[in-house]
Amino acid sequence: MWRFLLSRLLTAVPTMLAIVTLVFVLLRAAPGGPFDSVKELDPAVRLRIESSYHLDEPLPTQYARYLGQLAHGDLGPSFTYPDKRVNDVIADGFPVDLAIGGFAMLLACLVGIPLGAWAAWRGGWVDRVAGGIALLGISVPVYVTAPLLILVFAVTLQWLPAGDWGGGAPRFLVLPVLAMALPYIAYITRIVHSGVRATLEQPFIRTARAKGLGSAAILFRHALRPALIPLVAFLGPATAGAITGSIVIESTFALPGIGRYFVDGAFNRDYTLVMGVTIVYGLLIVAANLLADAINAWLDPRVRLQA
Amino acid sequence: MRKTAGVLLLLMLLLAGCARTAPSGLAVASVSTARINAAHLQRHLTQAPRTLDPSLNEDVSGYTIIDDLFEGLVRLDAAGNVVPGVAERWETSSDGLLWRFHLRDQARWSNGQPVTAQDFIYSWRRVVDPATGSVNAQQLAPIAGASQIIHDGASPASLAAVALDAHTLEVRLATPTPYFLYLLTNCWLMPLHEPALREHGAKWTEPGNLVSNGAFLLAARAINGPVALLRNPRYWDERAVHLNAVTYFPVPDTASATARFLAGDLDVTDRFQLDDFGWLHAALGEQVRMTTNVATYMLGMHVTRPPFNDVRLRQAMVMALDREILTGKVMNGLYRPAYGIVPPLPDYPAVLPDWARLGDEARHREARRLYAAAGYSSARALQVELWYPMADADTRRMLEAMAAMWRVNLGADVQLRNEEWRVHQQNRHIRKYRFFFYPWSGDYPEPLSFLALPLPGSDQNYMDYRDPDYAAAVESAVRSTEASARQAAYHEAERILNAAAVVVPVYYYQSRHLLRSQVQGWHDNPMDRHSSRDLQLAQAGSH
Repeated sequence: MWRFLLSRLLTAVPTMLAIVTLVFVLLRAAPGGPFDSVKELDPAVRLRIESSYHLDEPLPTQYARYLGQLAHGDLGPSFTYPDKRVNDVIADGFPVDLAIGGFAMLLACLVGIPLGAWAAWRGGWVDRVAGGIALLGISVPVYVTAPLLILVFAVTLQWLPAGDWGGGAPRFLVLPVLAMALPYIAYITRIVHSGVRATLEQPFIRTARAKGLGSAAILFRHALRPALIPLVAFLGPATAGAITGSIVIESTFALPGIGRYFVDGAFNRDYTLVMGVTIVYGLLIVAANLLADAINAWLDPRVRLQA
Repeated sequence: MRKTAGVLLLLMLLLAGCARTAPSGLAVASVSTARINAAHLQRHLTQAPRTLDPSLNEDVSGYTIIDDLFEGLVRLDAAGNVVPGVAERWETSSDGLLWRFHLRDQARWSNGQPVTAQDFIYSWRRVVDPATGSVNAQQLAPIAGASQIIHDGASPASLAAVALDAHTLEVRLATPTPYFLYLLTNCWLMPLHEPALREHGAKWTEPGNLVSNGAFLLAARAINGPVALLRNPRYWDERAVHLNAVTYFPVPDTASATARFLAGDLDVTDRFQLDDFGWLHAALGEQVRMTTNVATYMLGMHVTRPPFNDVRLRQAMVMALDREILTGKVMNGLYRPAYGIVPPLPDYPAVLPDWARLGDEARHREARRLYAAAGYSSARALQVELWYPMADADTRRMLEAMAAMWRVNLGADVQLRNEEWRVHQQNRHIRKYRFFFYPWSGDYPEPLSFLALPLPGSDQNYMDYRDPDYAAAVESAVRSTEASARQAAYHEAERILNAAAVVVPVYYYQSRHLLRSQVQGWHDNPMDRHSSRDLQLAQAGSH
């Protein structure tokens, strides 16, 4: 088991290096530089700015310098925010995404797992209603639900703020968390539903029934646990994605998270910022997948046996 | 997020449907009594400021906040007029080259130290010093010595701004600059407190480190998030300040900003979508504010390469557009058609080209005659690409309507080509385009801010237009110290430019604000600058 995790961890290093290299090359291959703007810079000033960011050096030197900084945990200076380092920019924005994404995933699990399990267990109209909700949640995009939530709860009823982070105060979190959680609720409901359905047809459930176990015991002790295996595989990357922020959620609710830097940073040719958020996202994906594998090993004895 | 905007718009339209039958159907929040009592204003920014360093800032949002934090020698009042700031009075020589400013004794930094002439000199030298890497360095070119420092490596100490004593600043200009006083209201000419910069380095703009001399202090700033200001008790004119606190919220999504205004979170917003005007106006009435800006929406044509090296073709392109339809129908009647490069300015009557007075029929006929004279016909139609950067729906719709007019009125085939913003800027600089998007927002309310664009030495002359007569007319306007002579010279320059048809003027921009009725002291002004110093919050109806 530990050897399995360690080997996974070690393969993450070349993966990250490949990501860093690819992004480094792609960004610099894109036409238009970080200092191309409406007003043309004086050549002397431009030279000074570029040399202060070491952009005047040959690309291999820049690449080596960047890797050296990275080894020390330094993501470099931001081009967009001249008085900030990328570490500061990410440290400032990441807690916002962590809170919104974390709570959204928590809410999605708290609603989606019981709903999916109940629908699969009960069948009939419960199944159809839950299936309808899931279909709706998957097919209605966030850029529809988020403005709708704002319109109802902020503009019309004026119960909750229409946006802003508000220092993380609960009333500011409600709408973005809800908007973000809705599609995840739908996905989780469907995954758990099909998992439980498939498990209920397994011979060991029939055995359990034959031994006279009650419905609740069969569902919770025997059927749910194997049904959660595909869910955990889904939750790993999904959580990594959720806590690095959604550009739609962030721009609709004007949240100061890091999700928008994936887009804004790329448009601004803020090389270091795009690199920084990509690295954070990459690390989180690796960590989340690792965690998902570990949980699956615990859930599924077959995985443990193979390891 | 264009999609977000579109959906919100759709929902708003549904609501507007209700609003039309019952205008009170849309609940519009008002400022809470608590916030009125606390005199706490909440303002909108269309993007987060990238820096609060006045020397380095180049964003509108940065300007807005820096205007609240710092005060220059002069400042703009609520109506946009230049009024004394740190300087209580000034004199100028008869040739307009030598300026002497007398600083007021009471002007203080937020740490209590006096604001001196040396603080201005320090700041200005910092801007022109290439080591600072300021994008604004070129803006100081009117001051003698600045160009040598920027281009030729002269010492920043050679800038012709000297302190005669702690409270007297003398500035010598390289050329007469009619807009010099206005220039002084810009952020890069604000004074800086040298000890604070020395002590904190790049971190000097952080809350707690930043020492400023304006009506407000920096209390908090989140990257990409709200910027909170508090009243500065040491501001020399503190009694004139009404607000105790101002918080700026960056909301790039205009539909979200409108929603937050409706929800009562924002008291002033800096932009709304043009399409929303109808229902917003029905629901909000006078709280919707639009004013013509010192900004022109136009297209540029490269005049030395085919096809636009033929002036007749350029004239045909300019004439063939039906501007009244573009502004009236496509832009919902909210913009004013542009027939020249210079937008409406106070005390400057516009120059109307002759063709602008023709009826549609006659104008189309003349455009077609010129088009044919340039060698084009239905068999040999003009084929050209029009390049523009990623733009909002309003801009795209406008461009499509124009392309249709060229097709119908001339038979020309104009293909629209869209590019990412930075790529577009770079390609304009390297002259990749023959025909391109060329909007311009004036740096100061003077015709020169527009007429300088097509000058030979201008960094904005992507048209590569070079006409000695035009340059001479502009030069003569700049040199004349008498207002009527200057205006006559500007008019002459405009006539030359109109005849040369270097740009296709289309319309003049409008500022678009939502302004809650409890916000008082707001005056619409053409440069669209509104410092919080002049604003206050009051219960509706109590003045």
